[in-house]
Amino acid sequence: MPKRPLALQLDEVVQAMLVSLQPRPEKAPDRQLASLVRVARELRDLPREEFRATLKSDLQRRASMSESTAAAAKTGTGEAQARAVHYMRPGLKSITPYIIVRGAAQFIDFLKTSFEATERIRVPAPDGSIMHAEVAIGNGAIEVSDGSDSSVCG
Amino acid sequence: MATRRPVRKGSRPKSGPPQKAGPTRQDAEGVLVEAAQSDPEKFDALYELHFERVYAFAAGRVRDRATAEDVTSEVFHKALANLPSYEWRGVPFAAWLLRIAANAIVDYAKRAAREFPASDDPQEPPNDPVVQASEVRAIEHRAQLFRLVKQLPAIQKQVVLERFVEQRSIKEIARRLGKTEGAVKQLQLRAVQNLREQMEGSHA
Repeated sequence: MPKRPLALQLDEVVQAMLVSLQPRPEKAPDRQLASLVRVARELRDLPREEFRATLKSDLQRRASMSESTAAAAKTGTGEAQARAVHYMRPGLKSITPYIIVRGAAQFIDFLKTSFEATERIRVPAPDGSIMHAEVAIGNGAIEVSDGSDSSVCG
Repeated sequence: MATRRPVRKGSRPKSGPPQKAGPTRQDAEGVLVEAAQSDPEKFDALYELHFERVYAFAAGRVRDRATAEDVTSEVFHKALANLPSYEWRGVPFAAWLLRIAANAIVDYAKRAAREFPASDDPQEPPNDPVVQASEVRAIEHRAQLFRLVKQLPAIQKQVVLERFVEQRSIKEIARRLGKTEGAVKQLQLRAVQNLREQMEGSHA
């Protein structure tokens, strides 16, 4: 039987490799084919060019962000310094509403019932009212207080 | 930000190239590391130098392309973030990256074990945080092959990418390139032969 061209033999092995099948065993394992198959096997792990390029541009963006933050922090602008020193407590976002309301305890109960809020901090005042409390809702939080006589509240 | 000059002391890797008078590869790399430490925008050069190596390592240890990409991405982001704290001390930059990669893969394996606790497949990929010398040789070999693909003639490179990365059939590639299936198989053969010859040349 005439020997099949090498291009066909290689492709048969590659095809089997790509669909995870065992290639048909050659009657007389060809050294030339075997060395090509070794290369082909490694090529299965070749990275996507698009991934290489996307990751590179992500890193460039990140690098230029960190560079501009560091440079701005050196100049002493308040905003840049705030970004550079991670001033926020975990669990808080950039803006956290502070609600001063008579009946803060009931308000917290309402938040728990209606918004599945979780109470994180409660600091009572000597008279039993709430001097300060913090409740988490989703990935944000609200701060709550009964306020004092001098506070203007609804 | 204060720059830290890498401390070049300690033993060099045994498998490294013979040391000659004049600048070595590690000295050149030290310059790139210092440049990136003082200006993160120069991290590009280190990325170009090590991408194939890190990807080859990740792809060798994990099963699927998506995880290999996630690990590679994590390694370079962590490396960029922690670059100011990197000091040479006899540990080449590549080894530092591979250590980050090995740890990232261990974390992935732990997460996967938590998400799929029933999986007790004996074929689990190795998630040893230690990278053995034999594995480093295999990584270097594979990374070199990946780099050589970029230097193939354009049409051969396209066939390799479509066949092995996109996993398209010969028929589909033939249609996309406007060629016969026989011609695509010949191009595939020539590309693989080219790569084999260059790999043999590079290891001669």
